[in-house]
Amino acid sequence: MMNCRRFQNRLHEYVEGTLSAGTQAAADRHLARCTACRQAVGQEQQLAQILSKRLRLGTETLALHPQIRRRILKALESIPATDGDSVISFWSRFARPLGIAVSSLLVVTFLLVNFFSGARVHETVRSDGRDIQSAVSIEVSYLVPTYKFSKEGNLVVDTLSYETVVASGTLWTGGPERVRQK
Amino acid sequence: MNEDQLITALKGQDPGAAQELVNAYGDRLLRSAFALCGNEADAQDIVQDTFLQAIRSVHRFRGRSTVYTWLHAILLNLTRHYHRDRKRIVYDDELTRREVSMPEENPSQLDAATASSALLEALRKLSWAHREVIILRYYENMKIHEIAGHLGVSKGTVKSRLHYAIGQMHKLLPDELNLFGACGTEEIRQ
Repeated sequence: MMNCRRFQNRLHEYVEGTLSAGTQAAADRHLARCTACRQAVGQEQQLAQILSKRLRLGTETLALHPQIRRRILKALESIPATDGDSVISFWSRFARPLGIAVSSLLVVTFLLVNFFSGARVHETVRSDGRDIQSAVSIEVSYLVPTYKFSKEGNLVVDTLSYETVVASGTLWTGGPERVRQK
Repeated sequence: MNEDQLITALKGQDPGAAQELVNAYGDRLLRSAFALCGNEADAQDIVQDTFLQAIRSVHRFRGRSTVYTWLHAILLNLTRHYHRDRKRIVYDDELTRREVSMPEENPSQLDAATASSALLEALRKLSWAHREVIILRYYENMKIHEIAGHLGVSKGTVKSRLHYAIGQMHKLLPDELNLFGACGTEEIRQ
């Protein structure tokens, strides 16, 4: 059942006649027993009528100036023929197929790149079937400090020297090969 | 030429169609622009820009609304820009009095003109958001859902703005020919 508050919320739509059939019937039933809401409907109708009339009266003598009309028509002549409709129809016709084609091309390219980069790994498969996979060449150098002590007269002299050791070899993914020291 | 034919002709850049468009809707748009911005010279410029923009974008018109509604949406947008640029609407009292002036030998018409002038002046004192709902509702006679679609707001927002705007008008014109004395929203909402 519709109460006054619900009716007031739908007052404009009631006056317009845009309520759904069910709501309209409920509103009519409410109005039949509610004097205040009937009065509100009358006031809204009166307000709309008066405001509309006054606003029209305040503007009805206005007319687009002939100079403005001429200016509009002159300006329209200078608007370049963009042929916007054909541009729009071109895009609406070709945008989707073009998008699908580009997407497909990207996917195929991606698959091909993956396929051929994978083939390089298979090239390293040995004839005995064991996958030796790819090799990495490594070289490591490190310093080995050496202290030497010697007696010179009453003094003990210590000497610090460093020896550079370079180790190089090949590292396989299956495990490191023996590292050869230089 | 009906609306479909007019739009087709405009898309074909028919100068006759442009002229017909201006003749059919120029004055009506001008009056609405004047009610919104309150200055005739600015209203003339806004209408001119409205037609130019409409012709440039006619390929985007899909016929989902009437031609006037489409033109009015452009006009409303331009008027908003005008309002934003101007920051403050300068109301030209002299111009309005000249526009609404009636023959002095008819007192009843003169009273009506004075009432209209006062109403337009009160409208200028409303915020832009409240003024536009009053114009759309009571001048353009748009329905609540149409205003909501036109402004891109909810129906509740439209009703709320209307409620506030009419309350403000009631305060601005308390005794104006008993216009709001009997019809103010304060009474309506009780």
